[in-house]
Amino acid sequence: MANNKIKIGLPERIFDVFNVIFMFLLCIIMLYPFLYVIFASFSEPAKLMAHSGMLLSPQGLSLDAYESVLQNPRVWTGYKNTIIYVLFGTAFNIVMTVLCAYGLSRKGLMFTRVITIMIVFTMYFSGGMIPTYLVVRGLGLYNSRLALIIPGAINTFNMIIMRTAMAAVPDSLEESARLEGASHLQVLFKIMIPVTMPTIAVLILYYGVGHWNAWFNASIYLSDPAKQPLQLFLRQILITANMGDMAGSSSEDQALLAETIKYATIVVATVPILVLYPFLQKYFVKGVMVGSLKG
Amino acid sequence: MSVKKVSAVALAAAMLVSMAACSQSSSSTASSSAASSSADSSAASSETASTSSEAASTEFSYPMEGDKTLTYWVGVSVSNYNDNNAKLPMWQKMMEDTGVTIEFIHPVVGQEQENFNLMLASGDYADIIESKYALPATMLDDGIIIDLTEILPQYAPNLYNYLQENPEIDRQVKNDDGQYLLFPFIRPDPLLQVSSGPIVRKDWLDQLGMELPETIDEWTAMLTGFRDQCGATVPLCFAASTDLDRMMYAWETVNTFVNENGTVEYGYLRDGYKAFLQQMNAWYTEGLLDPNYPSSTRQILDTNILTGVSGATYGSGGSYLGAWLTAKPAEPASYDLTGLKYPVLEKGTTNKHGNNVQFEFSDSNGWAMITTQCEDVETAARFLDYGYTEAGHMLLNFGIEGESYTMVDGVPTYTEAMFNDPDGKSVSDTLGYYVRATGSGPFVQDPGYILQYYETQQQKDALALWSDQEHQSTKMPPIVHTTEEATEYSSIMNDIETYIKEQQVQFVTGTKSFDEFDAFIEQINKMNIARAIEIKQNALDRYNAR
Repeated sequence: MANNKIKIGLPERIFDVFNVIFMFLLCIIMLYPFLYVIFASFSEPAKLMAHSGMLLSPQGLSLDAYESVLQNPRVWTGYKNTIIYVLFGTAFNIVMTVLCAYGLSRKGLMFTRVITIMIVFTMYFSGGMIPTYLVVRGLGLYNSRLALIIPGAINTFNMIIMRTAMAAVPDSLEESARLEGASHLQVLFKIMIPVTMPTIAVLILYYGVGHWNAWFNASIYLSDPAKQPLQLFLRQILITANMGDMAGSSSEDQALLAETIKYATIVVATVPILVLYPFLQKYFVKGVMVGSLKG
Repeated sequence: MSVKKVSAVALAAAMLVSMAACSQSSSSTASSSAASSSADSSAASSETASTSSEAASTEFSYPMEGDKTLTYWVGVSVSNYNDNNAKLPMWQKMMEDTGVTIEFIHPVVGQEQENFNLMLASGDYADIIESKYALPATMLDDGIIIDLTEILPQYAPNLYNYLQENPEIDRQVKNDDGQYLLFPFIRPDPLLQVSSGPIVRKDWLDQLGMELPETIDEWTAMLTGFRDQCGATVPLCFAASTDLDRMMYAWETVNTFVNENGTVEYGYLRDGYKAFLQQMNAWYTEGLLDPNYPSSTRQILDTNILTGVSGATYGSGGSYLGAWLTAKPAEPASYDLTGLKYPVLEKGTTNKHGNNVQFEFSDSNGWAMITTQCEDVETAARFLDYGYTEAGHMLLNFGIEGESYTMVDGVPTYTEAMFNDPDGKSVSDTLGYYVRATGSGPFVQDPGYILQYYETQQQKDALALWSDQEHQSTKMPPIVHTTEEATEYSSIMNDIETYIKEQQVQFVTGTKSFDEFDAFIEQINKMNIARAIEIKQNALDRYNAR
């Protein structure tokens, strides 16, 4: 290896230096907001209030905000609900997406083109919030946990990725199974799913992260706070903290602690999914390739 | 009558004594206005008492018989800890007292407008809606709510009698056609009608040997002193550029319309506006006013006030003054803040243009309406009317006796537990479990709430100083526009307000010379301000004719 060394010219070295510096700066810009939130969440409220400029370390050290957040029953109901939506929602998404994609990827399905156009149509046009709401309500899903699971069961874009992945599987695999007398179900479960597992893993991530971060549908379909996910509560904390400033009648200690509670809630609501990212990153990279190369 | 007066004075005296007892440094203005306010409130409460005894004579008494259930659309209280109002002691008590079971429908915090629109779109309304998300007049036209004009005398005698005894409040609550559409939120006391005003560094004033400044000239001296002797680099700073407009009051003008004895005028066209701009320009040039005031934020203000960069600002008693007093820095040890009266031009006069003062009837939030889908209007009306009875007044303002308050010398006093929550909840949260006074709702707010809610003496004093103005004399009352008026009005005013905002910054910062002031005023006239004034005038005339 050593004797095969390629000589790197000066311009390239200069480029590398600047490239590395540039990337470092970019990293810092990306990282700083996270660090700011973490530092602020551990700060003493009064000191944080008097602080100006960049926040490079916690101002004082206080766990009051975390104590307040973790003692809050609404945080825990939120967590429970979010986990329910992530687990069951993602499972349902995957089942529906795989079934739909399998059907559309088979040759000889009648009206494939028409069905595909109709499905793709929904990517660009939607019925609007109120009609959708009325449909969900009319189906009796209002204020039911299913309202967050059923209406968004298939994401068109994800379904197309899945269909493309299945269409790319060589026909001979399926043909040989059919000759042995396998049914469509057997082909799907014994051949297609094992072969397209990497794509499915990526979709699990897309759907899972989507469910974790979702709040809007919950805000219109779920009026019962006992069923609302954590992100909706997080949003509420952020909004009420801002409203307190304007209303002018919130009390002093609330105005003080509200600021750090806000940051502590962000940390509590974000860290679990954040910790997962590094482990799952390789699938994300794969996912991007699935979309660009074969789609 | 004389007996009532005597008892009111006695109560006021008791309140005065208890006030003085909890603080030695109470200034004379503070205690005198507090005394007059408690006299008002005790008069008001004895009125409520007399009306409830009248109600009793019509053979109706709470709790109501039978198994009655209503749905109630309202924002959740103590939303950071609680997910349903039915879990709160205050609402449980109210259900028990009235004999009505309430099923709450809560909009998601921050999504109230969407949730409200969706409820209307679905055609499935709650029996009672407490919402500011659509105008009551529009909702009546759309067939969403019912007209309460016939209902109030029949099923809500407490509210009805209260309104009959207070014709000025009655005028505010009615619409132009003399109809009642809602159960109002009422703040009968001046102390409840103002919550913000000027705030300055008290220790700096002491250092300069100055009394609390009252006139603009004294303000100039104060700000100069802050700059030269106290090391303030930005003596006067605001949380938002619009707060600068509060200074306009001294020149007898405001940043909106003025009601000058029944004639509508536009604040920016009044004589004082130019003088105001010139003074602000002078402060700006001398480095007394924050050079970055158009882009200032709350966070910048916090830092400036707490680190001695700024010494004067504008803010509310709770989340500004109170928060700063709690977070006050260790150095200097004498650090202290005080409220100031709204400044005037001539010493000894009182500000007449405090436009931030509210009217008794809150036309921005807190009212309740009964919908057309309510099958038992009587029960709904009686339930809401409970808030205006003597017992309901105590419950909504002070909570449950023995739990959230106790009677001390005849004055309802919040218990210690309300102020020191073991879990570290804030006062507004702990109180939120027991009362509605911290927010708004269909009842009459009691000034006894705010005087206890503000924990420090500085806040109580500030409230007295801020409310020491002839408020309401020139403020536009809660008038109502017709739908056509509203459309035309906003299309005119959007342009004018944007234009003025732009120009004002240029005059204050000196990018535009005052030679161009006349052209500026002419431009406002050209933008058809006359029509906007006419629209306001028509609405005011209708209001006065109510």
